[in-house]
Amino acid sequence: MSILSYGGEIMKESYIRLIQYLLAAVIVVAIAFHLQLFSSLIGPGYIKAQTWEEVASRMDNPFYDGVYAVLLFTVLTHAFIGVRNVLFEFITSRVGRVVTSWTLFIIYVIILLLGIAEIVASAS
Amino acid sequence: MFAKRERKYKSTPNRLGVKGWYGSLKYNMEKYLYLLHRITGVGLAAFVILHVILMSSRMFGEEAYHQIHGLLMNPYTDIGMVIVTAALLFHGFNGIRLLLHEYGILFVRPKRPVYPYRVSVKSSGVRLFTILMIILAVLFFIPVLYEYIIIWW
Repeated sequence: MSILSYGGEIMKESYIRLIQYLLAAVIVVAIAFHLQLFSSLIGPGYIKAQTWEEVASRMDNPFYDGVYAVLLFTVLTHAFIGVRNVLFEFITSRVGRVVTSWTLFIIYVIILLLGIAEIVASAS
Repeated sequence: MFAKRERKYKSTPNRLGVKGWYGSLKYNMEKYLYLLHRITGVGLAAFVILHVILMSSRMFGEEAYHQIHGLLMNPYTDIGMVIVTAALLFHGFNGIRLLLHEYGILFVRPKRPVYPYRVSVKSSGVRLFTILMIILAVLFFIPVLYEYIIIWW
């Protein structure tokens, strides 16, 4: 909680950066599995991958459920930490940073829950 | 110039805000990459939120999916997706470069800039690696373009 409470200024910023880099490393691998679907050279291709039949088959595939779960968590977390970093470059007041952090955190949780609901509904 | 800037941002040293993104672009290529990394990052974050919201239509079944998908099947979305993919490839390859460089993997770790501000990235093959990453991003973009050319053909 101190990350949010203090706007990350006091002691946690280096940990956030480390988390950001670790997430990036996972994303590079996970996103390759996602993007290969849209290439007709190695996967079904952009048009076919978006047909309901293909979408439904991926929804029934536990491997893709896992890939999407990993992607959802890593990409969203990476994105929100990144946006927070950018916003902190021109929001310099302590109160502003705390408000920004909490606002982003709430949006992050909402989007994450929406994504989890989608993956759980697909898997069941 | 720097003294003026220092006075202006006296309360927040070393924080020029967004102005700092382009304020010193004249120095080197890495500054341009830094700026592009920020811009593509913010753009991709917006895309990810939109993507999760739109793709969640899958959980409401085939009809809901087709409704949303139907809205997105237009040339503007295709152009948008080309831009998003280009941004993603740039952000990804530049991110790999930053990660390897910052943790001193393959190259020396970056140093704190001190007078006369010699740029460490120009040595030890770092600049060469940067160019290699850009070339790789461009190469990976070719199959993406190929995919969209098939659609538009």
